[in-house]
This record gives sequence, C-alpha cells and structure tokens, in this order.
Amino acid sequence: MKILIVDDSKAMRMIVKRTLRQAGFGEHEVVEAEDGALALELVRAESPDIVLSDWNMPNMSGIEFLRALRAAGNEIHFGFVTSEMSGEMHAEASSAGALFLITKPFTSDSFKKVLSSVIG
Amino acid sequence: MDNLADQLDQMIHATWQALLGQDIDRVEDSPNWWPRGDRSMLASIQITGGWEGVVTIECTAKLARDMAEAMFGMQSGQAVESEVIDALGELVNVVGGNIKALLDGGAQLTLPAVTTGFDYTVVVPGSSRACNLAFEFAGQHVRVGLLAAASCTRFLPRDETP
Repeated sequence: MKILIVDDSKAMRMIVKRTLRQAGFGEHEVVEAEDGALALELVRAESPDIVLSDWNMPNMSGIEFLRALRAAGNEIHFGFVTSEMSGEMHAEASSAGALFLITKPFTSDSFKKVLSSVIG
Repeated sequence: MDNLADQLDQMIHATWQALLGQDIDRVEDSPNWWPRGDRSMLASIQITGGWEGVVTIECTAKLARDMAEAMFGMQSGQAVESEVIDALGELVNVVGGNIKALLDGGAQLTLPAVTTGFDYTVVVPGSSRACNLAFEFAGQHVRVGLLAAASCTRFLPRDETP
C-alpha cells in the first residue's frame, strides 16, 4: 500500500512517518508533498492508496486539496492530521469526503485505532 | 479564566511528549534566564475570529536547535537552520491549533512565523498578555505566551453547555 503524507512542515512529515512505523504500518511505501497543489500532482503521478493531509498549508489547503480530488472523481481514502479540528471543520471535512481525522499531538495508539480499518 | 494556564500547561506537556518524545518541566519564570548576547528564537501564530490573539514560544537558538534535533532524532549539531525554524514553527502550530479548538466556532489560525535575533522585543500592538508559562527542557528555558487583543478582555472558551 502507498501512503501520501501532505504537510508543509518537514518536521511533521517526519513525525507522521515515525508514528506510522511505531503503529505497525512501517512496511508501507510513503510519498510526501508539502502542500495541496504538489499533492494533487503526486496523486496523479504516484496513485497512492491513502492520503494523510494537514489542513492549514500555503498554496492549497488540505480541504481545497480534498475537494479538488473529489471534483476530479478521485475517491482515494483521505484523512486529516491537523492541530486545529473544531466541530465546524469536522463537519466540513466529512461533507467533503474525508474518512477520518487525527488531531495533533497524536500517539501511535491513535494512529493504530484510526488507520487499522483503512490500511489493514 | 483561571484554568487557562492549566489547559495550556497540559497542551505543552502533550505536545512535547508527542513531537519530541520527551517531557518538559514547568518552572517559575525569570527575567534573567538568557545571558545578554545569546541569539534567541520566537515562534508565533495568530488566532483570529471571535477571540483574537497570538501564541508565542520563545527560547535561545541553542535550545531551539536541541529541540529540533530531538524532534528529528538527530545527533547534536546536525540540524540546519531551516530545520530548526521548521521544528519551532510546528510546535507553535500544534499549540495554537489546540488553543483554537477551545474557542467558539469561527476562529481562524494563520501559518506560523519564526523570528530570530539578538536582544529584540516583539510587540503586538493593541494586545496584552493573557497567559505566560515557563518551562525547562534539557536544562534550558522555554517561554510560552498567549497575547490577547485589547478588545478580547477575557479568553472565550467554547460553550460546552448542552
């Protein structure tokens, strides 16, 4: 399985990768993008199976990226990993087609709990 | 709001534990922590909407590098400046996002900014300090602050009543 991590912070992309390993998903291939616009190109080029995306990013935010994917007919598994998940954002993410939300700071247990049914 | 400091304290502990894999100790603040002439770094992020303010994390450049190396799992002295800025920016981003989650709907978070230099003062016009906490990490000091716009005389948490 191929996982696309989208975050403008290199530090956070590294922490997400580390947490995936700690949660037992280390055998999966990981590709990275630093904003929604680059991620959109990477989805076309790499055809990942699941996206873990930040919300607040320059150029194209996570929710804009998700809407662009769905507008193009792409139904890839999509989840947000973000520090700022309010009830309004939760509703906005769900209606746009996000499968799950992980709030920063997270633990390997929270990754395992949310991702086990998606990644397997 | 008396428990704002406690909530911020819990956020800081959880954030440092999750991102750096190490705990951070709350200590009493002191104006004489940093010898004059030490380069320092200040990461900030703004919250706008019903409540407006700025979250700041401030420490010496040396400690910012130590924290970045802990975050990246690097050996001492390996982190370059861009990685240090990225790491400190992400810390304030996570704390800012957690504070935003406490607020009523409609709050917005900016992208983080990191300032570095010698013996400088950061002024946010029209704001006052709502909360200021001090911590010790690896024997060095970190300040975490919350500045509120003058129009926001008190912190306005999300209404949890049913």
